[in-house]
Amino acid sequence: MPGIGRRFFLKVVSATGVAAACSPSHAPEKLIPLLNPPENLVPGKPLFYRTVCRGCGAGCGVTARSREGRVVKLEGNPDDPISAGALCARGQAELQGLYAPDRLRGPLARQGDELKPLPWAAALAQLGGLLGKLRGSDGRIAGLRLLSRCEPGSAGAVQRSFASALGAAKNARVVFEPRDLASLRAANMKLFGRAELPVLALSRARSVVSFGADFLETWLSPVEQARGLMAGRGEPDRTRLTWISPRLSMSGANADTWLCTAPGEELQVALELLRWLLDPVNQVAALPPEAAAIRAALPPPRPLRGVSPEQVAHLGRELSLRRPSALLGPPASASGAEGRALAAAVQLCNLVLGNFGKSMQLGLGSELDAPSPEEDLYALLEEARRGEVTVLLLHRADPLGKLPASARVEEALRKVPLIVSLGERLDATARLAHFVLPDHHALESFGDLEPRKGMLALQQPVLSPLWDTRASSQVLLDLAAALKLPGIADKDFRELSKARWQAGAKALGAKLDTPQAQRDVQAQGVVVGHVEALQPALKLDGLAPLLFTKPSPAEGLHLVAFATALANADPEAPGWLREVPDVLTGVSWSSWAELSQATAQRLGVKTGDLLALSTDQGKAELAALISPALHDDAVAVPQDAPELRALGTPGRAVRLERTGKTFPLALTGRASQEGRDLARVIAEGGAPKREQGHEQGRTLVAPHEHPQHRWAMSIDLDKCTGCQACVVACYAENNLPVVGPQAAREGRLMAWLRIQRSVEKGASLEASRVALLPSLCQHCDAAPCEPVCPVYATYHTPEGLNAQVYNRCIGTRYCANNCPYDARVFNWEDPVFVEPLQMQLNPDVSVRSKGVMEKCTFCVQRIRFAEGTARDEGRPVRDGEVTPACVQTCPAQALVFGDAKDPKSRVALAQAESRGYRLLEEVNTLPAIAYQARRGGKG
Amino acid sequence: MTRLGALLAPALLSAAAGCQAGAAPATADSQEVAFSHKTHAGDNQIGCTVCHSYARHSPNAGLAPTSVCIGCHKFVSKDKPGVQKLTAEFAAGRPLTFARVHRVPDHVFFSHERHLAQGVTCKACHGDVAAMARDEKVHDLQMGFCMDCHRQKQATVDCLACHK
Repeated sequence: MPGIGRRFFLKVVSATGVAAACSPSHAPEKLIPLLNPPENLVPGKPLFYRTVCRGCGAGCGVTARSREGRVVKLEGNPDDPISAGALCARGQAELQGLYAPDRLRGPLARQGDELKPLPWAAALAQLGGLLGKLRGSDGRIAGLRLLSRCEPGSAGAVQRSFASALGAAKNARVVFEPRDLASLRAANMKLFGRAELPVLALSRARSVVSFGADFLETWLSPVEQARGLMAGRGEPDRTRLTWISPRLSMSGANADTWLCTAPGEELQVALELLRWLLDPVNQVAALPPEAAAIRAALPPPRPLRGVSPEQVAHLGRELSLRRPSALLGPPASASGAEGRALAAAVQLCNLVLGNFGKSMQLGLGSELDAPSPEEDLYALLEEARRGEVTVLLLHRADPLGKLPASARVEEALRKVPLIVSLGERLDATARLAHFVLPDHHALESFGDLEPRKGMLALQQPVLSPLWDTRASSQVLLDLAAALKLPGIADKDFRELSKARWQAGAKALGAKLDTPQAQRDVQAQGVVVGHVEALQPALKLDGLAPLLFTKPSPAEGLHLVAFATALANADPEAPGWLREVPDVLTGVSWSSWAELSQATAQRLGVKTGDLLALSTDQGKAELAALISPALHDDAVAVPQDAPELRALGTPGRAVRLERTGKTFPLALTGRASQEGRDLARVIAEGGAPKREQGHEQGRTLVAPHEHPQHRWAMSIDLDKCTGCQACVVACYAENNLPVVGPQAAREGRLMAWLRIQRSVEKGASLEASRVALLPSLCQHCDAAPCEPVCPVYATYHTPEGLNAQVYNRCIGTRYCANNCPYDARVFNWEDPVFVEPLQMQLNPDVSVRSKGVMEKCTFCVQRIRFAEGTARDEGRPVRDGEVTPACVQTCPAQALVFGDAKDPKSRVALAQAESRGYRLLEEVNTLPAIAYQARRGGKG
Repeated sequence: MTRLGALLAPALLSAAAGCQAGAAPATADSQEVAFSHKTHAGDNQIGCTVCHSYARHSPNAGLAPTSVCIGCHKFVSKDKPGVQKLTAEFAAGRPLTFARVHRVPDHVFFSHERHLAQGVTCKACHGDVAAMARDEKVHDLQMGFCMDCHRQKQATVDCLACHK
């Protein structure tokens, strides 16, 4: 700038008056040195620990990044064959579970109507005394029951020996997993004599068919399955996906074909498909020898309402040609004889098509600590209601909060004179307990588990316990010692677990001769042996009754439950999972009930109307949301919604009434591209068309020189599933605040990266498509945001980043107005991190304050970290060494990041692909991000 | 000078923000013990990284853990009141605290490691500490001070080098 230099001007202004007006009244800051320096810990440098995610049953290996004793980020363990370095949204959010403000901070004991804090020693002494008094002459307690989540490792072993030493009943310990795929487990038992869940190798499947199984959200092992499916995407002969369900969910949005069934009709479709495959007329090759017997066991055909016979035949033909395939189902919400029948029909299709041992593997699922059959749980509740249960120990089990109201759990619990809850928080069941003995979080615990056969996952604490908690297994061992239980010699759970995993690891061929070798295995986090999948032998007896069928449900509205990758409807979920909007509806912070457009019109319902839903089980009020991709007979509710407990299991008829009230749903985004082709789909062999309109190459500002690197990204829309793991990872890495429902309603979410959705209506409901587009700062070479900033707070760095300097920003918001990608977010309020959530904050990233604009930085702190490491080692940065948090965690590996100046880098190669295009290319902003169009996948 | 008006507001704001960010400078009597860099680094020639041991490996230089102080003071100068206090506090499991003299605001990501690797001496920012019986701030450590040196040494002047 000629004349007065900017810096000189600032000096003058700050020198005149303003500086003098500020009085430095702060007391000197204290520096507190360590007493003794901990080994390996260098303040300012991260430490990485390997452990296991316990968010669901998949058992993904995790790498936790720790800074100064606090864990600040979770990532997948690259050595783990399940996660392979990636993590889902829920896995990322385990961190907020650890730092959850409502976690229990110490033991509680009931005094009258209240639970009051009590020291551990006193609580254990009291409990031990009570248990001692209840013991009979044989030293056992006849009415003792232990209800636990699935613990396929040392914790389960401790519980089993405790329950068998102190309890008398045969099923004294019941394993309760409300989201277990019980139908599939039961069908595998009946068909093949193996009560286990399969392990999928979807990368081998050429066609995948899902009967409503949300295998990219929560079903079975979503991270591994997303990676498997998408390994076959992007290429011309790509893996095809068919989605069979009344609702197009996120997994369905990735499908090439949607067969929109009437609610409850999936079973019929599966049976008709099986019938088609087995019909000799269709000449399906390589049928198994049992084909005729299976065909004989099929129930008589019934007419289908939602799906035509031609569609079934088309699918059958595809599957008979494209082998191996994988048929998946049913979802966790399927239950009873119908769910089992659907699971059996699906598995028989897999058998007929020869998928076992290839894409669908049996014999690998862990058989340790399988969830108990539903009957055992209901028997326990019945015994409790009869007053036969005298002691109920609960380990991370909340039957009152998770089971439907019809299970009458509260009535049962109120009859139990002594309830001990070993959990993390005061859930609905724990509120009725007499002792609440809080467990460590999984990230604070030692342990080991067998996620599948031939694998051992090792759990270790990644930080010291935040609160006065104790490992539940240790509590049981302490009680066993106090009660002198026979057969339990172990005193220390850590030692017990260590001995167990070392024996297991040796059996898998791990070398553990020296203490260093043992530490190396622990540091690796996982031991992988080799187990072959089985070729299951079909048991033909009992096939006909298993393939039970009932008439298609009558017309009229039916309740459908669906899974979501996030947990917006779950009031107990952490903030990230509630606030990041559901990818298909844009809802955050509440439950909702979806209706089809036609049904909504018929009933005169608008989005946001509060509906009264009633079934034969009960009533609930939910906000209506009009869905563009739902069968007219379905009322769809997220399976995390607490309201579902009152309405009972899905599948039943539901009545709708308008209450006349409205509910302020927090809705984000518009499901429309406003006529612009942003999320592009190309036909086989095609290339996306180049947008014209503005003079090519004429830019608003001159493009820049990039002397060393030009950081760039490539996003493959054929691979992106829309799971939003990237979004949650971005929240975690970049200290994004959770703003709450009111700000969400006002459109003030702070996400730097969001998945834009748009619904492209087809001729029919089934032909409609949902296009998903990860949208973030495009780091334009000719960025429209830069020249409008009056204070130079945003500029183009020599490495190609569009930078935002927070301490310089004065919040004019001109840049956001000028950004064609809507990539910038403004801090309308100071961020709030409720104690102790602030402990999760990444110390390498500024916490922004009110009045400041912010946006994606391509995780510049991670770029600097990799550059620093490379410089220390005296070498250039390697391709793939720099990964922003979103790229790092993508289960589908749809995102690639690197240096576009290196022509051999993965990102440069991906950007040069024929499917590549840039967002709003015609405005000549020269983005650093290239998208690869989704393939139409026809044929 | 059409930008002058636009510059005026941010200048005022940033000046105000700059004042609030800094804590009061430490004075001699705000220190818990009369630690002298002159005695340690000057007279006895103890190298900086003996106590500030992370400086070469981390953004943070670190302070000597009390156990390192005790390592020498088990034997040395046991008659001095400061050392006696140190020994008593250490025995009680309490660290001594020091009033901070040098500080950059939270939005500055300064790395000791990177600067030392490029051959910048401790003295360049902290002054001749070896001659100070009581620590004093010699340079203001404002952005202008950083930028002068960065320009002079042709180091990066990219904002994102320090602000993230």
